[in-house]
Parts: sequence; C-alpha cells; structure tokens
Amino acid sequence: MGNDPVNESAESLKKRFADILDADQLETRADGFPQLDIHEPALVLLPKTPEQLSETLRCASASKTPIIPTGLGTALRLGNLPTAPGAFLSTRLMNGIVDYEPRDLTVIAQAGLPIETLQTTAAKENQRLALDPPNAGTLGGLVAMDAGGPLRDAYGSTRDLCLGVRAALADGTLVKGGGRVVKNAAGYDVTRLLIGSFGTLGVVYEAAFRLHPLPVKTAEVSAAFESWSGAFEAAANLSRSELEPEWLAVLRLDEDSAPAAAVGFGGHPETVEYQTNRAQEIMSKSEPSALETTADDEQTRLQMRDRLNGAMNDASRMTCRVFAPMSAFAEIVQASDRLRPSAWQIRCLSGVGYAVFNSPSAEAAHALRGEAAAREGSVVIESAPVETKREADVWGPPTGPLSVMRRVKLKLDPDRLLNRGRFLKGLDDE
Amino acid sequence: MDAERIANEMEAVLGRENVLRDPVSLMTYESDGVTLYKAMPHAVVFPTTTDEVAAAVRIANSAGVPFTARGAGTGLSGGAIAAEGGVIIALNKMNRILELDIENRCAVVEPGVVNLWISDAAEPHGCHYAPDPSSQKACTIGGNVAENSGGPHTLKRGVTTNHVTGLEWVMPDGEIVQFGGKSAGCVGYDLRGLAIGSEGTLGIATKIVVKLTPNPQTHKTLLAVFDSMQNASQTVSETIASGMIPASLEMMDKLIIGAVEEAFQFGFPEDAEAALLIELDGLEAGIEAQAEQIAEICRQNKAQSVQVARSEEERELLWKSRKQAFGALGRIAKDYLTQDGVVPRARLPEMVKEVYRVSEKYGIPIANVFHAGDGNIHPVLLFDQSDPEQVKKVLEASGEIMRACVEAGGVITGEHGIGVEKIEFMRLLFSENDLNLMISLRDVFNPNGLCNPGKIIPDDEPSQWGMTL
Repeated sequence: MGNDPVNESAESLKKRFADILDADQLETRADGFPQLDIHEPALVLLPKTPEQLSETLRCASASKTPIIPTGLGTALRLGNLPTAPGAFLSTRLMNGIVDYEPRDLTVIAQAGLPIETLQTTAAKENQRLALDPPNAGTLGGLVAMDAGGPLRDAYGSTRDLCLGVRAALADGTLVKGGGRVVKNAAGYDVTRLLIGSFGTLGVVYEAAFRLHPLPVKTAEVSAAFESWSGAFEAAANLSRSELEPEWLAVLRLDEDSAPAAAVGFGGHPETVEYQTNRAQEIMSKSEPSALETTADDEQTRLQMRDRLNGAMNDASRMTCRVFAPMSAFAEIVQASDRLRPSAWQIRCLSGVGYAVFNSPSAEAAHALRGEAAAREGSVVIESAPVETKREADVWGPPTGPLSVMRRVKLKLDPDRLLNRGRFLKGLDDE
Repeated sequence: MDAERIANEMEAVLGRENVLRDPVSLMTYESDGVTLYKAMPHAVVFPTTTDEVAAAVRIANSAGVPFTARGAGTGLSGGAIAAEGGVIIALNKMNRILELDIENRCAVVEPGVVNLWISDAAEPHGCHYAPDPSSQKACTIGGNVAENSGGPHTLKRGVTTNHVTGLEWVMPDGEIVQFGGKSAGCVGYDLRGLAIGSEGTLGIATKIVVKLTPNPQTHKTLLAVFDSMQNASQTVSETIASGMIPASLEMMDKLIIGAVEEAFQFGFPEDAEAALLIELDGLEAGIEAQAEQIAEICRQNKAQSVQVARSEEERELLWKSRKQAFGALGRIAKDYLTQDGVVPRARLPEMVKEVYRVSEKYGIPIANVFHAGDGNIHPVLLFDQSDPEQVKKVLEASGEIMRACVEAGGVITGEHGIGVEKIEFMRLLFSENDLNLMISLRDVFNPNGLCNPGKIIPDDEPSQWGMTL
C-alpha cells in the first residue's frame, strides 16, 4: 500500500470482522462523516466491550488491516492524510460512566462517552470537567488530542486532568496506565504517553478524570481595541496583576471585528466581583474603544469555542494551532499579518493560539510555522482542505526526538496499523 | 573492564577532583533516604556539564557497568542507590539557575538545583515553584523530575509533571536530546511526560524548564482539632464538596499529635484524635468569607477547637505542628519508615482504621500524617532498625497497608516512587500486560539495561545487580 492506496470494499471488510461483531456493529460509513480524503475507509467497526475491542484489533493485526480510531468523528479533519485506508474503529458504543464518586471529584468513564453527557451528569453535582475544547466529541477524543480550550489557562489541558487510561494496543493487548486517584507515582507514566498520541499507539477505551467544582459565580470582562498592541498590553497587565482568572484571551473573532482582550473569572461571589472591577480598571488603562462586563454568562468564552468549532468543521477554511512562550504571541500575530488570517484566538496564560484562514494555503501555514519556530514555538494545522494537506505537513517538527518516537511507535505498533500516515511525518516510514 | 580502569577513565574525562573512589567517602552513597536498602557503588562521579554527563554515561556503557543518577539522596524508595558495583553519577555540581524568564513565568535550571532555591530566586518577582516536597530545602529538581514529586500544596497546584515543560536529557546511550521547552505545547509523543517519574531508568535530566507560579495575594490558615477521625474526614469531604479548593488539607492523627504536643506543647487537647490543617490561598477579597465557611463546616462536624491564623506569625505557628511532626516522632522512636499510599478521598476513614488494625496486628506503632485532600496517606512506622525481627514486621506491615490501598481503588505510592522498596508491590497494581508495556518502553530508551537497573519494574528474572537489605 504505497502513496495511492486502494480502498477495500465494505463487504470484504465486514466478512473479516463478522465473527467478532454483530451486523449492527459493522456500519457502512455514514454520509455525515467529514471528508478525510478520497481514500478513506468504507466501514466503521463498533465494538461494545473491551473484549470485543481487543478481538477486533487482534483480527486487524492478524490480517494487517489498517485502523483509524475515532469516537463521533468530530475531529477527523485533524492529521495528515491517511496513507492506508483500512477501517474506522469507533468507540461510540462504549459510552458508559463506569464510576462517578462526587465526593472524590473524580470520574471514570468509557472513551465513547460524549463530553456533553459527562458535563450534564457532573453539573447535577455542581461539578464539571474543566476542559472546553472546540472540536472533541468524546472523552477518547480529548485523550487522543490532549484537547483543551480557554479554561486551560487555569486548569491545564487533558494531560493535567486525566488520571489514568485503559487502552487496547495495536495487537489487541489490554493495558492500563495511571489510576483513579489524583496523585500517583507508581510505574511509568503511560497515561501521559498515550494522551496526545493521536490514536497511534493504542485505542483508549476508558479514562479517569479529575473534576472541579462548578464556580458559584462567573463573570467576564471584554474590551475592544483599535490595534493588536492595545489588546496585548491589556492582557499582559492582567497577567501581571494579582488577579486569578479562569481564562485570559486576546482575540479577533473574524475579519470585521476589532482586536480584543477578554478575561473570565469564576468562584466565590465576593472574589469574582472584586476581580471584575479590577479587570475593568486595568483594561481601561490601555484605552479600549469599548469595554463590556457580563455577569453569569460567559459569552466570549462560548463564542470562542463555537467560532473555532465552526472554522474547524468548514472544509474550505484552515485552522492552525500555535504553541509558543506567552510573550511571543504579540510578535507572532503582528509578523503574520501579511498572511491574512481572518481570526485569532490566543489563550494568554497557557501559550496556545489559533489562527483561522479563510483562504487556506500550505504556504501560509508554513510561513506561520516559520514565525513561531523563530520564537521557540510550533504550529499544527488542525484542519485544512484536502488540497492544502497534500502540500503541507500538518504537524511540523515534533517537540522531541523523532528517532525515539519512531522507536516507541515500532515497539507498540510494529505493523504501523494505527492511523498510518496521519501523525508525524516520518513516524511510519519503513 | 575492571572497576579501577573505569574510575581511571572517569578521572581522565571529568578530572580527578570530580571522581570519588575511596571506600570511606563512598559510604555516604551507600543508601538514600531509606537506610534499609544499601549498595556500595564502585565510584561516584560529579560531572559539571551536560557533555560530561554524556561522557560518563558512554564510559559506563562501554565498560558494561550500570550507572545511577543521584541528586541530594533524599528519596524515600531507594531509587538513587547504585546497582552493586555500579557507578553513581551525582548531579550536585550542576546546580545553577540558568535563566529566570519572568515574562513567560518559567525558569531554566540544572538538575542539582535545590527545589527551594528556585522559589527563593523567584521571590523578588512575586513567583514561586509550586511543588513543595517536605524535603524541599535539600532535595534537587533532578530528583523531583525522576520521582514526579508532590508536596502539601499539590491539591490545588498539581505535582512535578504539571510544572515541568521541558527537559534536556541524556539518553542511556549518551545521546543528548530535548523534550519540550518553554512552551507547554507538545507536538508528537509526550516523551517529557514519560521521562518524568521514570526514576532514573530512562535517562538523566541535565536541564529542566520549570513553570513559575504567581504568589497568591494572601493565605488563610485554619487548624481544627477533633475527637474522632471520622468527623475530621467528614470535614474534608464537606469542604471539598462545598466548591472550594484549599491550597492544602493536611491531617495528623493521635500519635502524631501526642508526639508534637510532648515536644512543643502546642496545647492540643489530651483526647484529640485528629488535627486538620487547612490552608486557603488567593485574593483577599472573599477569603475571610470562605475561611468562615470552612470553620463552620468544622464546627458542624463537632470540632473541639478551630483556630484561624490572624497573622503570618500565627500561620507559621499552625504549620509548625505539621512541619515538625517527623522531628517529634524522632523523639519517641529510634527509627521510622514513612510509607506512602493513595486512596480515593472518600475511602480515607476506613483506610485509617485499616492502618490501625495493621499496627495492632504487628505490634508496630504507626503514626499517620497525610495529604487528606489528595487521599495521599503517609503512615509512619516506628521501630528499631537494629532489631531484625522488628524490621521484618515493618516490611510485612507495609505490604499489608499497600494491599489495602490497592483494594480500596488506590495506588502504592503518591509521591515517593517505587524504587527498590516497592518493586514487588507493582504486581498488586499492574497486570503482566501492563508491566510488559513498561518493559517495552524501557527497552526503547534503555536497551542495555545499564541505566539504573533493578528499579520500578519487577522483571521475571531477578536482577543481576542485586541490592542487599
């Protein structure tokens, strides 16, 4: 299977897995699935239990059938184009809450559980999983992508809140890493290795998370500025202040908006009120053209999530994620003005930014990567049209030695069946 | 190659002043914070640069001799003792803070930097390094990375892995690589995450990028005393359930309180069964109200007394009882072994009962001090190390406590690591498949098995680099 793989028919794939999965667990790829490429699997495998998952992967391994793990398919547009089609394997039917102990502020759930379902359950106990990513549908997706949203400023990303995982390796072996307790120093941190590994080392089917109390009160302050420098200055002043925001962003929601800074607070009403007043004071010093305070409605935070989600699901646009030291973003944004991004969202306290391009091109992505790399940063293309992906490397250089990552991959998935071609360039090379 | 020749080669590369080889000096390095486990190294070398660490690793490799990285030697699981006949690579001379990047809230430090030095250096800029193990005045950041260390403030802030974004790393074959950097973003596999907590078996950190956390505007510290452990535990649960996340929630039991009282006369009631130290931190606005809310929870759970610190001096006084607990125990027992286990928070009361049962069964007094908010218990077993019978009982009692932690859904270490001490308990927690996965990962990094052998993973074949008890 070289660069131009031939799709195996759904019928032929079904036959292979018919002994393991029932007919309703072998789903012909629905039209709703986002377009990955012209070469994409025709069949979705839907195991219901860890044992079935294990059997399914063992069968795939024995027959050298490539597998693209997924949940609800909401983030399939991430990654390089697959170089081998095979079959999708969705954890969608493994979607139960295994154990939720509100007094421990921890929950164990299956990977196919939609994040929203978990949030609804936790909210009944005045708790939440403090992750608000734009495009992950399931808990497994959070883990595969190390997802996070604006709240990562205060709570970190999945890497900081996931306590343990259970996974099936490429050959079907079931393993676990970590546990269900918030502190754990037993053995290698297999959990963190799997988080963010994009389903290339194993298929996570269960995960334990740390939860946080829902804030009693929330409020946000946002300010529009005539230039980026005003917005970045306001954000830097907030960041240097005594305030303890849940998130702090510099953003421009679309081409028609002005650059803005926005900050959100949550917690004890007295603390939130004090911080809101102070934030107004601090932001005013940078001479905003408009200043707005919203109580009990996190308008900007939700807007940021929805806009980014919209951009990532729009097959004609390109979204790039920029990681960089926090102080580098003002320069990166100004230096990449010539690339004409239509929108920017920067999480100021965690050093993550998103640039959206209405006119995608590999050149723009690579130029942005150059600007970030010059400032100790990196760029990942989160979503882009198939044509752009053909010319671009979605991930760019890894933040560690590729040689070691390749050895890890070959050890755990020697036939390179999981997500072949979709992760780091060179990872799956012979 | 014999020991003499390795030491000679090390001297040629590192300089004579950076190699210890006389038996008397080597004795200091025979054990770490748990003196139950001993192994005599052939030599201890003190590289001063990353290249020298890599050179030392290559010499050991070419001689086929095992090597173990070591910082302050304060570890509590025997992770930093040499394999018998191996070489210790001590990082104590690589002890510079290379950069304080206040704007990006991070620092770049060498592994031999003592944990507290970072907070001291960042203090004028209003920041600190958050993980604060009890040994923070002595332990090094390199050791913290190896053990994924925690401390009383991890409830709110997290442990080492949440505060280290980048590592310069010498692989077990001497190759120098980088994992991550100043940006917390990770592209590719999180090798940084895998390296942290690998107890020196996957390589040696030679530079560490740590996050700096802004100092909270203020603290509010409460000490509540209870006549029942159940009520104290209930207070912990209700505090957490109220939506507040205290910076720390530390519990001490009767035996600790008694020892502390005898040593320092804090004025604890005689029938006190549990003392709970609760600290809130954050903004001044609202903190009084939250402290009052917690005090009310304590009172509703029949606290005998609730003290709220009104000044920094009073805060330090309240903390003193917790911080001096171990010193106080030293007055009532010849030796003690500090155990480390974690259970889901809601299981704490029954776990404490279980520890008391084990104590009675073996006739070994066990004092309990724990990070209640994290469910991280530290039973302290009091004994006399010169009595082999007592040593045997202490080890058996420890095993029973570990088993109880696992049965309660917890783990066998929250912050001390596995080292050699708990290597056999790994099978309680992990299946053969889980352990094989760890072995596979170790083989990727450390195929010759020379990098700190005999730690963490119980191999089927007993290690050829045996340690003596």
